[in-house]
Amino acid sequence: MVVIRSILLRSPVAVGVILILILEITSALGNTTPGFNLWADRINGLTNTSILAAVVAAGVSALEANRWQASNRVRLRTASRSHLRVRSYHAGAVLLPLALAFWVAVAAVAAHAAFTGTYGAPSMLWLVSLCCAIVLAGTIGYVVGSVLPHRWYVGPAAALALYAAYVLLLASRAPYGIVSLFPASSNYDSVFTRKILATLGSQSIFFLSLSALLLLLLGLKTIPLLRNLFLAAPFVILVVASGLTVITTNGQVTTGNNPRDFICVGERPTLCLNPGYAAAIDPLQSEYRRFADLTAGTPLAPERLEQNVQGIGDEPVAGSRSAYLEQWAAPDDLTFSVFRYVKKYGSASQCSNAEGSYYGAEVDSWLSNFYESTYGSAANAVSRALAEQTPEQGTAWFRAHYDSYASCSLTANDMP
Amino acid sequence: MKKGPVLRAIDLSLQRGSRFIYEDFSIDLEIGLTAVLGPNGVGKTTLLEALSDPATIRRGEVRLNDEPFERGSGDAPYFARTGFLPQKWTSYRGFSVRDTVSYVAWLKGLDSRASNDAVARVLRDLDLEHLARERVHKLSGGIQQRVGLAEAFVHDPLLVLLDEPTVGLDPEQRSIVRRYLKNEAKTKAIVLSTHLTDDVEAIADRVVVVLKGSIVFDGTPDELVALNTAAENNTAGIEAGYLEVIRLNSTGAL
Repeated sequence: MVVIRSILLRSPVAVGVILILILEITSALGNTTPGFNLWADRINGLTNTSILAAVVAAGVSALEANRWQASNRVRLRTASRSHLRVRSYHAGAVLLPLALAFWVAVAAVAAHAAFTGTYGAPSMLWLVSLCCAIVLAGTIGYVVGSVLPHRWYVGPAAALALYAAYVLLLASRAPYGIVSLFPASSNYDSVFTRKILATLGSQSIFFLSLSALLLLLLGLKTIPLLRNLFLAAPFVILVVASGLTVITTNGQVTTGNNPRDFICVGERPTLCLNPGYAAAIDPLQSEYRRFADLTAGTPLAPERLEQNVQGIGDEPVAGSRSAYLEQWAAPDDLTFSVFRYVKKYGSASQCSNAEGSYYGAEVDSWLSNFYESTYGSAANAVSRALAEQTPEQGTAWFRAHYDSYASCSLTANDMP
Repeated sequence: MKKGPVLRAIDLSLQRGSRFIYEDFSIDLEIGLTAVLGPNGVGKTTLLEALSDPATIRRGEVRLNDEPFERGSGDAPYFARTGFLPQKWTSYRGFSVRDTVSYVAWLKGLDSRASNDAVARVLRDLDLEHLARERVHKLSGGIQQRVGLAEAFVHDPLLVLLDEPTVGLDPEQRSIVRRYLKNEAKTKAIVLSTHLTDDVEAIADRVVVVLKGSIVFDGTPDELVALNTAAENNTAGIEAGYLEVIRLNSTGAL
């Protein structure tokens, strides 16, 4: 208790705890999808910070282990308690507060989420994996600090070395399964994913068992004998088995999945969004209704729209089509959703000739009210002519020219 | 306690680097305070460090209370019954006086209740009670030295090895330490390496002078004083006797 209390209060570990708290909380709360309040964003915020948290954990652990080792060399040598026990108590006093800081940050984020109506729920195994990564990074720093001679720069050097190793690993273009064994995550969470628990669990086991193995090797006073090998064997087996699992799954922790947790509004079309995106549902439905009016009587007109993520688990039920909405920072984000619908279900994929593509693109922008040009509908004569039609004229024009549009054969003569 | 020497070191060979400092060196240590004297570099620290951790000894045998030191996992009983104050004592930055001594009590195997009692006792005896909450690294060198002594004694060891424990102490502190050591020496074998012959005169029961890897004098302080037949002009007492021993051994007369 003396060690734990004093280390907590009077060592760099306290600084590490505060840094991890600040980093995790600010990153989790600061990482938002504009317009929405999602747990997935909180998780991504915590995940984005994992390399920084790892650097902090490695740095303070190395610093603390280095100075503890230097000032206690004789005491440790002449201790009657087992070297392994003494070492593990100290390592625990260093690493547990760092891990605890992560969970305190998570608790603060969860409290904030509860008061702000954040949609969704965190994957506990994802959080456990992030925490275990901090423990491994701290353990690596601890081992480095313990084996190196006493120097003031051991802590900062360990932190920088860990960061450099991460950069080099990413630059090496190693398979993601290998990258996933590094104690810093670059995974991405979303409402529209299912977590692969086997990978997350294996990652957590790998981080923890490697930490335990490193500490065990450090704590053994003598050159490993048969007994020491016997002690280390379970951890070696766990490290190898969990590491291989992560590598063989290529570190994939999510797979596309629409939970089909929807709230729906309106008719012609009925728009169904995930409750986390509900804030945008009425204005977005208005944009789609305008679009549905213009395309009425054609196959392009939507009847029922379900929110999906393009390319990931993008499988709307029969009679529905996908609507995409990533963020709502500006009105353009809503019209961009319609634009993406048009691009997916319109003629763009049929186009191979230049003229048809050009006029088709102009029609797509007019239909969705989304213009890539900053001049908007005033960008050129074609877009101006399309936009200047009344809704009734527009609907009539599109219905009359739908076949040409669909076959990507619109010409200048077709334009209003 | 068993009769006979507290510690028997038999035929030790001790190295510093690749150089042998002691070969086939033997010594018995009994209850009481033994002062080890010798010129600089003769190997007093090497001897105390070796006895503090016999695992570092290349050849020879160390028996504490007639039980042989066992390397590896069997070394715990030896360390539980020995205390050591190294020449360069370092504190763990941030620890208070109480933390420091409590930590060593824990390392030496005391449970928390025994530790609390032992720490309170040793801090009181070394007049450190009022400094218990102070951080060690902020205290003067002399007080830090007393904290080091408290560490060496906190677990009530049978054998205590002190490498120059009174260096840097002011007269008042030296008096406190001498009184403490004198009292503890009634029940413990205390070995004290020192250059300060007045310490030897004040508290030692036995004096051992080492030179060139051998014991060249082993007797009481009075016997060492009695060796002063050369009548050095500027020294007297223990110091004169010690210098005479060194002189005779350097010239090969003894």
